[in-house]
Amino acid sequence: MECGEVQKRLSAYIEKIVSPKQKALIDAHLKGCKRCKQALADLKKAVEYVQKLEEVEPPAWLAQKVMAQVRSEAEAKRGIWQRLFSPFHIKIPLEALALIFIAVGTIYVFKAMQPEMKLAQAPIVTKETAPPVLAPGKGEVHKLAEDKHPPAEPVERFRYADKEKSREQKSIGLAKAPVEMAKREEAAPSTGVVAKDELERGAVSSVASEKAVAEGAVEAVNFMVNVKEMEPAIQDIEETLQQLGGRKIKTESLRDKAVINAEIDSRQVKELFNQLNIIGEVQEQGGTMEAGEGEVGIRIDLEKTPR
Amino acid sequence: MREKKQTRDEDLEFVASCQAGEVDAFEVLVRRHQKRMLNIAYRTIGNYDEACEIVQDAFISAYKNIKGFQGKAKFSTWLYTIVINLSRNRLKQLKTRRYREAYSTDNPIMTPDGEIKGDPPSGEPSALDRLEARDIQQTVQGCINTLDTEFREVLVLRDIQGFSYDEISAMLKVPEGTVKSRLFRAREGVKDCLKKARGDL
Repeated sequence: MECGEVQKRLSAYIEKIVSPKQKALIDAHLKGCKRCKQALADLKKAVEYVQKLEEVEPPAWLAQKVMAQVRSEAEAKRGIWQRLFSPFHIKIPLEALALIFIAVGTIYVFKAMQPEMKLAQAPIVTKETAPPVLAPGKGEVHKLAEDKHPPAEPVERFRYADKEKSREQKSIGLAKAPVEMAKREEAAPSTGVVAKDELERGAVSSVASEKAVAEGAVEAVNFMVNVKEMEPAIQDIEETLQQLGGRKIKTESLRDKAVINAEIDSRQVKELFNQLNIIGEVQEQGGTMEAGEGEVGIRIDLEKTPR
Repeated sequence: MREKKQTRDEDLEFVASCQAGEVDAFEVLVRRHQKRMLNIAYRTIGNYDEACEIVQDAFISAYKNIKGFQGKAKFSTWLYTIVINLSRNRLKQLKTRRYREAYSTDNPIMTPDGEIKGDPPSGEPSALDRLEARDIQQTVQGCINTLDTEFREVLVLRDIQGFSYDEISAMLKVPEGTVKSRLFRAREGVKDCLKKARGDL
């Protein structure tokens, strides 16, 4: 090994972290090389000097000064805590503040609910005058709750009634997706939103009930029909409805879907059903086909049969 | 090794007291560690008064943060790391403020740029000559002061304080390999400086 190489490794050599092979090489070199021997000696001496540096003593006042600062630090902290939580003269203001926050929070929630409540008023009013929708053997009937609500003014009542109505419709409908249900509940008061949703999703029956109700009809019966061709089917259905004495026939159509709303005499519902079966494939239905009194709202969802 | 283990246990019980709010327990820790902390700071920064300041600040900082000490490392390691960091910061501050001249009282052989003065062209007694008369201790410290911060730190921690490589690695948060290579360069630097200052060592 050459001098340069050796001198580079002298520190490691001293620390004994060179490989045995390297150590052997360095040893051999050092035997014959005065310069490197000197370099090694110098290095060792330098380290020795450093190691022999005397320790200094801390001044006597150092610990005391530190503790004084630490203690005042501790006092300051404690002071804050005490002030926050000392029994009376802070506790009451704190509680008052808490109350205020809660009150403000409630008002916010209330305000957020306002628009929904206002919209809920209109449909609820008409609904109240009608006999409730019943689903024979299809789960619980929340009719009782319904009857308890007179067409009253208080907004809270409307809200409650709205919920009752939705719950009812849940039990009535053949809702496949409960999630959709929940969403419908939210959308219920704003009828415009409902219509759009239905069109886009392929309605679940209960929504149709809601909509029919919202529009002032008494009951709601809905069908979901698969047809081969949209246009002819729509015409046929409209014709049928007219023949059965239907009124307020309204058709909304999209590309592959359509919705037809109408009001017909409840006694005609069965006939309508039969006719629909001729026109297309009735997939779903909701509401009762039992003849009752008065008019029923009909909603027919048309879907083009996928090929 | 046994002593170290004892120290760790002993520290922890007082740390726990402090965390529980007993201020007096902290004094035990202060008295126990202040000397070592001062020496780390002093040998790193080269100035006794500054070092005292640093130690005080380190203790206060430790106290303020003691609730966050989780016992993952030794308490002393944590404490010394604070000192090292504060010393490093102080050095940086002082360097930019060009206080090296003030330092020169500890280190007369250095020029403001940190160079070791060589022989003057004229026949005046050289700085080196003056230096030879000086205490070897001061010379060595002066040479340490010529090193860059990161090399100073390892030299102080290893050759003066005797920490192990992995302890130093934990304190400086660099790998052991880096610690070693820095140490070697630091030693070479001191050696060269001493040779210049004192001729033969």
